[in-house]
Amino acid sequence: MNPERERPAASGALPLVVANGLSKTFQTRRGGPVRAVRDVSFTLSQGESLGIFGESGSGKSTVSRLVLGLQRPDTGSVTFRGADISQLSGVQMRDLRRYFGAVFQEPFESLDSLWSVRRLVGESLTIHEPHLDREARETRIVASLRLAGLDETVLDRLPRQLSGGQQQRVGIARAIVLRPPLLVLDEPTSSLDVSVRYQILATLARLRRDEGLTYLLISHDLPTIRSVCNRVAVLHKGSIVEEGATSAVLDDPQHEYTQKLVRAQVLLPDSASRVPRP
Amino acid sequence: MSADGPGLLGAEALSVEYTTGGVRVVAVDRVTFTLKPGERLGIVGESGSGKSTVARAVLGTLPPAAQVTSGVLQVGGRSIEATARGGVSRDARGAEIGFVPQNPFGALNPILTLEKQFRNALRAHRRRATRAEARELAVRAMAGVGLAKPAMLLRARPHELSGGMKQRVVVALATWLSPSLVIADEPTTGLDLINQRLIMDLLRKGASDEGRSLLLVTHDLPMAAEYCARLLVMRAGRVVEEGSVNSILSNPKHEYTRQLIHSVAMLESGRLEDGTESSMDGAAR
Repeated sequence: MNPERERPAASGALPLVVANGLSKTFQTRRGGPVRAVRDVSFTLSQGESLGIFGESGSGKSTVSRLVLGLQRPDTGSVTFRGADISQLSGVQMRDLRRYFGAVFQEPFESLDSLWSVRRLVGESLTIHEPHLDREARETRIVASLRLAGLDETVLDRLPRQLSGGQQQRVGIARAIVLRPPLLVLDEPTSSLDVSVRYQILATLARLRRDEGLTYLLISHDLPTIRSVCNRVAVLHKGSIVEEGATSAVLDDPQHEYTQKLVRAQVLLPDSASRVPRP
Repeated sequence: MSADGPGLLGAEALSVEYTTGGVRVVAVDRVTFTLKPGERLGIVGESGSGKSTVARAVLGTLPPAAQVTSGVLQVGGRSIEATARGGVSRDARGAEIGFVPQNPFGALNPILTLEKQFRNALRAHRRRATRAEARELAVRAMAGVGLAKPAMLLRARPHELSGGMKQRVVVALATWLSPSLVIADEPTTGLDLINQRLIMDLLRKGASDEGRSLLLVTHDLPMAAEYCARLLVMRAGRVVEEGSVNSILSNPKHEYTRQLIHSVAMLESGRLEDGTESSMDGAAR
């Protein structure tokens, strides 16, 4: 694989990620097996942003773990630039991880509380780019923090000395420090207040545009998906029931479940009139 | 409870402090509000705004680390000097004020059948009823919140119910004694969209059918705007703005309220930066 990050290509480019017929069943202590994911397929092209919408129990987090290679599917495969990740050895998998950045829901819990921001963000450089000297490393860490909307003043802070929004920005800086082509965002803003959420999502949208990143965003929040994703797949009881361009699916849903969801949303009255005209 | 006083529920210059690790933090700073009979009022704020503390002070269920430092509470037209714990007596909770807390898991006793929990609520309020009468009332309350096969469900324990069903049981328990007011603190947290709608519709229906007042505490501005007539916007322990939903949404006075409305409206319309439609993508259109 080419370690250089490719620029986003025109549509029709070679897909970055292909999930093909993924299924995963878990054994529960009571109640027998639960089919968490059933025959899920999707394609993610370079530069795209695909949202996987699902409510609790829909299997959306299992999908993100299967794509990240943290769990193996019972059937089906995930290919990254044509390579089947389930066929990779442990060492190959570790090497592959540098191409996948991941940001999770709970910013504080996903950051080691005893580590400084410098160490948190620099950790994957230590693993994957050990040849970097101190100065080059610091430069990369600071550049990453800046892209995530922070600056060098936070380098020596511990997670608890940061606000929730700043913690999640550290999570983003950590995820992009190796300049991976793909970011998997699993409920990245659902524990944040709406004004902070708005700012973080704006940062993610800017990053995607300016850095040519590809996103797989897992969320239960329709506005989050509408804001960040150009495509959406709606997951219900482990299966994708509807997929398409975000505006098409959310404005004119075809599946009964999606229609119910969209109708259940409580929106601000006259939302559209309260934002500047494009 | 009489419904003709100046206000059903209210607070005047209510202040609450928390003590953590020897440090005192003002969580609620001279908050004043009045809830009129039959009115639906939303207290809107983000985390740390003090909105839940106001509700707990009124209910008298502040945690040990918190105490009311000043203020007068009005409950059912009576003014009472707020005690350190705040609030109303236990007798009033449930009978006069129904409470729907954030977490249905914590609100129900995990080891008792639902029927037993309904019976215990009756006993706590010294209502006399035979077992059969109590069951009959409980069945009616469960059916009233749209739960199918209520008689059978009453024999279940909370863990056998889904999150949405549990919260419906909590709403039934909060409203079956016909209180004149329901206080709901983030009543839809953790529920999926369809159940969120359902719970809020139940609370609104109870309010309009029975002339019950609703105090809704929420971080969700669209939710408060949809289900309340008047809003109190809180930030850092203070009320920054108060008024009708219409006046606040169309003419917010405070910078914070403007920001909040802007964030929500931008997210809902899928635009993140000035005039840029962020989901706009050549490949998708």
